[in-house]
Amino acid sequence: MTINLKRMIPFLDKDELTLLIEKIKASENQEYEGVKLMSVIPFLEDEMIDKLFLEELDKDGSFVSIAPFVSDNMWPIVAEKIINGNSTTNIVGLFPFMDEKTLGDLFIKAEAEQIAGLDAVKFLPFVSDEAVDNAFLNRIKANKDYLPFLPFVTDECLHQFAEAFCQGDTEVDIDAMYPFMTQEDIKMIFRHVIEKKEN
Amino acid sequence: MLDSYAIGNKIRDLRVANQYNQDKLAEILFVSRQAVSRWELGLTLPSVDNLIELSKIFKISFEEILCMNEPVVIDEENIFVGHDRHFIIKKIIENKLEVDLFDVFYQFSNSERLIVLKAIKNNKIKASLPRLWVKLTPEEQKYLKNEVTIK
Repeated sequence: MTINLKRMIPFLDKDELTLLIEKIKASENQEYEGVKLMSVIPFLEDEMIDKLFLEELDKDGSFVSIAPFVSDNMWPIVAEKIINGNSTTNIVGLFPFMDEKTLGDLFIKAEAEQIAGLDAVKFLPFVSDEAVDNAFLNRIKANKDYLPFLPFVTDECLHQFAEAFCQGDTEVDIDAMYPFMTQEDIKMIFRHVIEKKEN
Repeated sequence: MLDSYAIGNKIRDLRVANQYNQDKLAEILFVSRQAVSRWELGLTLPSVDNLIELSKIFKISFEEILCMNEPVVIDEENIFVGHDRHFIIKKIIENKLEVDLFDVFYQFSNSERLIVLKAIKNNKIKASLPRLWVKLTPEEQKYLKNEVTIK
């Protein structure tokens, strides 16, 4: 009679699970008697999951698949690793799990080009509207490329550029911005230009 | 936000109806033929000045060229057909386009799924989460779990 180890996982105690993980990690194909790390994760205690997650992150392993099980207090530690350049992995896959504050802090650092290889644009679907608007305005002031931000910038933020343009601010690149504005702002801009052409 | 794809189709239809080819229209507007082609494909939109010129050439209002005041008609089988993807997503998260998220969720790209889930999380749009839950990846479920009470 053969024993199916996978079916026994829910019945293993802490020490047995630890031993099983050691055997999986020691094996060449990261598998022990048909059991992979991911099959064991849901049965581990939080502390153990967090430890495994950090190990996988450090060696650029399967950290993203463990991420749904990681405790929330891990994210500031992960963020610190990224900011300090101790993690060069592609961490975009972790964004959905991170809390808004950690993500916001990372976004600010990425915007300031303080995290090598991490493009701030990748944060845009995940960070708050306020963070996107602020970064967008800063990019305009610094004369940096703001076009990828336009679909994510709030209507209220773009409205101020519609108003500025109609008040004679020619610095505003209205041709790039108008497609993303509200219909009311677009109408205001077009009526302003038509009126100007007629006079 | 404007539907660049629908506007592109409108410009092409107006050009053909007025018997211009792309070269001729480009010449009148002092732009390249490629620029006209890109407008018609919905890849870019004409500048404000060029759009006003187009409205003069075709003798219609800029609102008509920009497909303003036109109802957004979608095909539930593929909600993006004939429209700009960003435009459709924005309409959905602004509650201006009624779709059954359960039925169309598979049509979204990974980042579009997250944009829609963010709107649900921020209570911008209402969705039956218990129904939608089975369609979400573990990552997406975790993203919503802390904020939303599943009733």
